[in-house]
Amino acid sequence: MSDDIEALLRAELAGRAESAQPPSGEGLAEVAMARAGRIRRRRLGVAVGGLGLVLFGTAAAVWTPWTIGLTDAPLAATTFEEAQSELDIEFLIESEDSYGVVNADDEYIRLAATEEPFAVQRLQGAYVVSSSMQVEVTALDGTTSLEYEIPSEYFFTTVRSDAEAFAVDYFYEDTGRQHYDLFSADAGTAEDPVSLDLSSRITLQDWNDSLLVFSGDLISVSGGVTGTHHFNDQYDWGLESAAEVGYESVVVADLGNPDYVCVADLDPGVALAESEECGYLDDPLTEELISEASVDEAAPELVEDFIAEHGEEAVGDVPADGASVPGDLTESEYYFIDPLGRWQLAFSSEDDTWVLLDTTGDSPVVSELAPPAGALLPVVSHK
Amino acid sequence: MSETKSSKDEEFREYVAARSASLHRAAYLLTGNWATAEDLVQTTLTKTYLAWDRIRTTDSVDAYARRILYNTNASWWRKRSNHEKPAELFDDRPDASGDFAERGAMRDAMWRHITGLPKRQRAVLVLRYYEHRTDAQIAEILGISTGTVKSQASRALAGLRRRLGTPAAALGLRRPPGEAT
Repeated sequence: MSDDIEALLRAELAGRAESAQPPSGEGLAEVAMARAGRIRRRRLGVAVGGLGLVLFGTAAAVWTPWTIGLTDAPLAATTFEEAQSELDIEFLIESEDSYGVVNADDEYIRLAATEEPFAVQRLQGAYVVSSSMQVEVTALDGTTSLEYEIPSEYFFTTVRSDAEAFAVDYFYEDTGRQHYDLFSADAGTAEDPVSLDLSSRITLQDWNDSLLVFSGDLISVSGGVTGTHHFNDQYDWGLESAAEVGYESVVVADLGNPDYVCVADLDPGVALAESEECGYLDDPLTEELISEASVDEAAPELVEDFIAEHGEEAVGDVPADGASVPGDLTESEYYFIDPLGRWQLAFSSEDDTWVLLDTTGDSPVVSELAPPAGALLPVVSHK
Repeated sequence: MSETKSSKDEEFREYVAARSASLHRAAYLLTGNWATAEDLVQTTLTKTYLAWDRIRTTDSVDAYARRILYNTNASWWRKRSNHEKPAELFDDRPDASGDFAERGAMRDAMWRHITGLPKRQRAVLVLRYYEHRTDAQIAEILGISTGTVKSQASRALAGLRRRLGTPAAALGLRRPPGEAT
């Protein structure tokens, strides 16, 4: 009987598979390569953005000690328990019927996501979980959770420097704009995000209640000349959308020399942005300009902290398309940097172990981390 | 584009041209419809390309892609399991009149049963009876033990027998034991 049913199965499966002409393979490879490119950029964005490593110019503060030790087998082993207790690494876990975070105390925090998340970030009071067309904010103890639908499969998240808010951005084809939604990382109260529609020439990096800080290519256009410019008008940046939703000012830092900034003084509630005043941060007039435009004495500090953190110690060369980060990293599908500077991780989806760089000591130590069962990704922690 | 990247991409295009039909057929058997199969193949190829630097010079590119295909499908199942229901138990067991139309109906019923199986059981059946893989190979592809392969196959076959009676009866050649005429 068994042979009969097995023979029938063979015939049935073969018949079904051969009965219809499979779809043409035309374009499959191109689509796969394009998607892979977006995923790589997104992963690099999550990982590098996690550390706040803006790709200023041709250099970014991506440390390269990955190149040590990776080919010197065997690597020392690190258990996930050690990673939890010594490096505070948390893991996104897929269990039989859910996704969750195993935190450093080995507690399982169940997430609401039903699609596999591609990033989980820990903010001041909540996890921000990114999955296809959805971002979820779940309290660190898992007791409350909010889900926001994102009308794009591919999007980036940017975490505010105080880790109490985050922005989601994606390219919106209908308008040809980069659309930003700014959310509070509060898992308890649903709220409408603050929305901006901007040119993709500038990229949001940080913000507070009155000021938005972007990066953009300024000097190649202005030559670094101080004084009044009309970038928003000339390049259709869309800063009027920032004014419309109530921001007092916008600062755009140059990608090549972030000390060179342009400040747009906005009228909150009025969808207008006439011109920008550009100068160098080491000029007291520029600081004053930011402070006055933002109606916020703390605004210059936000900009200076951002520049100080992101402009220093550029070690490795990282092309802005993320396509050729240093050797060993491109071998891995995933590459994560702890924003708090304690570790870096690289692995591919089929790997049983992840390569861990412990950067807490005087010298970085490379080891093989055995992740917990079902681990998909490390959680990128901002606080 | 550098020559190296161009060459790498060309190799990938050649691989896709050569293997996409085969991947589509397996995906169709796993998912039960061409639309989902297309999604599954596209996702599989995207993941394969992400690993292309690592696998392109090995002789296991296709094995890697198939592992991705089956495991991605299993992953989709886990994520969608709250929404997916097994095919309804059907009480339309055919009589044994043995004519051609009823054999066709029986095969349709069998297909419906296969597409209603849990994804892992279906994957085991497809790998064993369509791709003619050994249990050890199936275990490697699915990342499970050979014992699990055997138990999943056994469970799937038992379910088929329960639903369809003996295959001979399914084809109208012989009645299931105890079935009234």
